[in-house]
Amino acid sequence: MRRLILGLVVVSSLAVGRNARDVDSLFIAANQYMNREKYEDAVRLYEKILSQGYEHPDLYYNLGNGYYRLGFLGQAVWAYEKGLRFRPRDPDLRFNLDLVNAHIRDRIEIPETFFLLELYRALKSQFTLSDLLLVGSGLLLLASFLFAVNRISGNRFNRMSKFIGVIFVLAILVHGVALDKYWELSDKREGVVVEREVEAFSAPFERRDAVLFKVHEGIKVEITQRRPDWIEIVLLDGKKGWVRANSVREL
Amino acid sequence: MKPNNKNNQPGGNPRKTHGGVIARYRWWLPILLTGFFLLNTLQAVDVVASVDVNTITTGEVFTFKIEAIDADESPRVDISPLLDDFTIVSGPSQQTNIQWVNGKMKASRSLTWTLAPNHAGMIAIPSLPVKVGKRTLRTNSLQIKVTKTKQITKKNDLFLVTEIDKDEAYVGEQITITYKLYSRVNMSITDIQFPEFVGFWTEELFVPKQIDFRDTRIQGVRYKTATLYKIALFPTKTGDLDLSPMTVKCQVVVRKSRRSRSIWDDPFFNSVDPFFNPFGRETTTKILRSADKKITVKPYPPGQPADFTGAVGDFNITTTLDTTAVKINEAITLKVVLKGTGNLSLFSLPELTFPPSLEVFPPTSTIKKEPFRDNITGTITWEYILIPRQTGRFSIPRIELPYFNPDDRQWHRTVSKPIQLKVSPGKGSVIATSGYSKEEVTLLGKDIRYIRSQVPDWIQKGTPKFSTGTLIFYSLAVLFYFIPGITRNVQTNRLATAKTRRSKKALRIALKKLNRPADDIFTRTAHVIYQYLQDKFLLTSDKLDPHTVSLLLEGRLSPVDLEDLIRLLKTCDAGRFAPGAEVARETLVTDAKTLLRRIDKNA
Repeated sequence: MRRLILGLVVVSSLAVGRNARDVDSLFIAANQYMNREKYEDAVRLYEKILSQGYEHPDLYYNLGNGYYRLGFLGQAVWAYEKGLRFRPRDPDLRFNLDLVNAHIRDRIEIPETFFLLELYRALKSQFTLSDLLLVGSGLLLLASFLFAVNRISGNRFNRMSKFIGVIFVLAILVHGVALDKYWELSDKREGVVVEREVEAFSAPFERRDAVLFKVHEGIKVEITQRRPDWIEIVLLDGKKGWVRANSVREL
Repeated sequence: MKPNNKNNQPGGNPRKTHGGVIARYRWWLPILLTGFFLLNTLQAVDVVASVDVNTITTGEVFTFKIEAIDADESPRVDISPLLDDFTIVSGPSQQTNIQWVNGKMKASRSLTWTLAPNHAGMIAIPSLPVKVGKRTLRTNSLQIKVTKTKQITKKNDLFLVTEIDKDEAYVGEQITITYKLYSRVNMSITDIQFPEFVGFWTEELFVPKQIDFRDTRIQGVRYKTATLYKIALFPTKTGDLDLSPMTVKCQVVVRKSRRSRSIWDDPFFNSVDPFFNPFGRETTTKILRSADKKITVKPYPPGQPADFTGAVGDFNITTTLDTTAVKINEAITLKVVLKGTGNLSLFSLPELTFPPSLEVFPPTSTIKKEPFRDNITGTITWEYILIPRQTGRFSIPRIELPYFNPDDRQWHRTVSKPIQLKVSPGKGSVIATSGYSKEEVTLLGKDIRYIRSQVPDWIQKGTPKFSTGTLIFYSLAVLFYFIPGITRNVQTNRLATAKTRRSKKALRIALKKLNRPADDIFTRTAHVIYQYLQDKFLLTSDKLDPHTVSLLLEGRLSPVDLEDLIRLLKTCDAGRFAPGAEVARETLVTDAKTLLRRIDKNA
């Protein structure tokens, strides 16, 4: 029995290893296609890696470049956004996304909100959940370390305890942000319009007189409801409508 | 017998049943009669084809009728076999007759066409399959005699002329077709069937609201002529294209030839009543057809430019800006005007590329077309609204339109001049409410950054989103939080139990010391024992001797143990101070060990 389990473990680890090597070669081949300006093939291979269950911000970055070269701005935005979920402070991803966004047709004016809220959102978007958790845990560690030192040395530094309190409050705040981020990730579904022009209807069926508005590719939307083949989207300025599910790629 | 027959005559023109027709076509009545008798007796044929007249001239029309007797549904028939010899002027029209004969209902349904023969001679109308309901029946075949135009209208008296300015053209080249009617007789047009042009894009040049005749002379003969239709054709494909003929139906006023009056020729019911028409005139319907024409459409000569969008003719393109100096964010209008002769609105303008710092709104286009000397001439104007989003000098690039000129059979290119635009900074703060922001404008001119070629450490989808470092941090933090508490507990515990620990350890330390070799066994043993006693019984006194020991430990040790202890200590003292006591040396250490063990156990 033990032998069997051992054998299984060996086989499965081999399989994982081979799979990863396959993905590596796919990635290299795709990059070569990119260099030879065969963007269709490159994009096809990158998507294949994704479909095999592997991902990486670099992969999304290259995929976005491929889609941009092919003129699929919506797909490019999707890939860059997806990459930024892993590395929100990646300058290349940010630059290319800004560039593609400059090319897309729709400009949605975001209603102005309280500036502190905007600041908070901007700050939040700069960090991933794991970043926040790392910072939070680091602060907590610092606070508890100082607390320990202070206690062991017999509460000799009165100022120190205030400092510890500040750090502790900071750690709690960071954890609060992390919780917010977690809720955002788990509850808020977002997507990017990938078809050139999409009509949004007032209900999940096609009726000429029920067209509410039109959106063009590259617009990031929030997905609030689902039906088979249809999804309800909310634009950044609050417009709501139903579109065909395949016209929006979910982030 | 005869009146009865007359009523039965199918398809009879009611106007003519009163005598004229019967009188004229008396000779075929027996045939029809026998046919009807046959029909009545056999009852097998209940579909009848008939004509109202069976001798006509080429310019005349006749009525062709297919009647289904006792049918519940209208007959369906495909008369395409007839179309080689005849042209449909009108029809089919459906009629239903219901009669009650002796209490029995008789319904007959019929289809009627008005046909014009295409040529003279004896033309046979073949037996046609007719579908009535689910049954397929065949009609009787008929013969019709078409004579050449009688003297009523001479061929040269009334005719249509098709004028084509060229019968060879390039794709997109204009061909002008004029249909003219020439007449020397009194006539009126009742219907015009305009031709259909397959393979052409058409532009009507002239359609008369009212036909105006003008006098003209052809070889000294006076004619009245009128233009019926004028059209510009632009071929859209190469090859030989057929022009379908134009058909004009007209009523020609003819002098009626005097005929012998018969009893059926009732002047009262005759519509061309001499009483109302004292000049003895009558009209006949005449069908005029234009001649069939063919146009050969040639492909372009070699040298077609890559950006050719289909413009054929002669064009000139100009661009104008309403101002060449503008402040930032102020709208300016770029007018692109295309003037020329040719297939306007059949081609598109090549795409314009504007500098990225200009925001461009989709253009509005207006087309003005007018036939000038029968050539489609016009102006297309595109108006672009541009809003400069950056200051500086910009150049609105030239616009090129390649076109083919069929007159000199050469490829040409009309090019507008580039326009310089100076954008100066405006007053106040620049807020681009819509469109591109300043950063975006600078981005538009750039290219994306290059791909990453390093193979990354792949992340399996669905792996948790926090690192092991985080976990370590958390556990360490918890640890540090508890460390002060733990250390304090340990310290207080140690302080509290220091003495007991000392007494517990005393024996172990003592035995260890005793095992070590020493120069002066007596001194060392005594020292070890005193040390042990201090540790074990927590004696504070520094200077111990056998007397103080016995005093201090009285009651805390059993008397036997105490006695042995004192004796041993005394032996040590004796050995220390009197070197004679060598006997005890051998057993001293073992004695001390056993004694200490005993004391430790009992204490």
